[in-house]
Amino acid sequence: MGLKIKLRFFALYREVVGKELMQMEVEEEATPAEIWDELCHNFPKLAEQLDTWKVAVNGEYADRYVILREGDEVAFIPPLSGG
Amino acid sequence: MLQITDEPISPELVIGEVKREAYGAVVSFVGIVRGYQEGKRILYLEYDAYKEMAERKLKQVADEVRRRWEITQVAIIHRIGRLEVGETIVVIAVGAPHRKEAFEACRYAIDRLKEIVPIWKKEVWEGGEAWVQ
Repeated sequence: MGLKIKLRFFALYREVVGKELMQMEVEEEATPAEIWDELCHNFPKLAEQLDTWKVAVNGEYADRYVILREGDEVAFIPPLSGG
Repeated sequence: MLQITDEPISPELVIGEVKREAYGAVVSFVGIVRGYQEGKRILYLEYDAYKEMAERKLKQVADEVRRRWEITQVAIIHRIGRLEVGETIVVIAVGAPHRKEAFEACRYAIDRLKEIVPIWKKEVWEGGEAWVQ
């Protein structure tokens, strides 16, 4: 049985993916790292970026290999440049 | 006041937030859009944020400041959207009893903002654009 999660993209990643929000169904025990690999497959321009992405799960920085749960909001975070 | 906004920012308003009767110092940092970057003429900047998380991270920055410099107040406001050259990007104001801790805390707050608050800048110049990495 799959898990329904919500993906969010910002800045460069939003432009590459073409949207800010995406619903996705993933396997049990999926991790952000696995989702990123799949995204890189679908959007080769993501794979061209340096491996500098970070991830936030439900609005807090998380490990790339954290096990995701039903309903999680997974945001892919490009290198920050605020201020 | 710890917020992300798409409206123009008034530095005076932010400074007013951290004034207290016991404070003799307010130090503020005002970030503005530079007209040049590495020799290129900047047309405008575009800022994007993960707004809900960014506002929580601004609160984290303020909490860290208040833990390190006990008697301080912090206000931070950061603008997003399209910003023209000369416009205000961010204002940080720190109020404290004396100038030393106010200067130190303000410096700490802008450095931490750049490290942990999910905000991104795109530079647009004649003939090109890029998200700053």
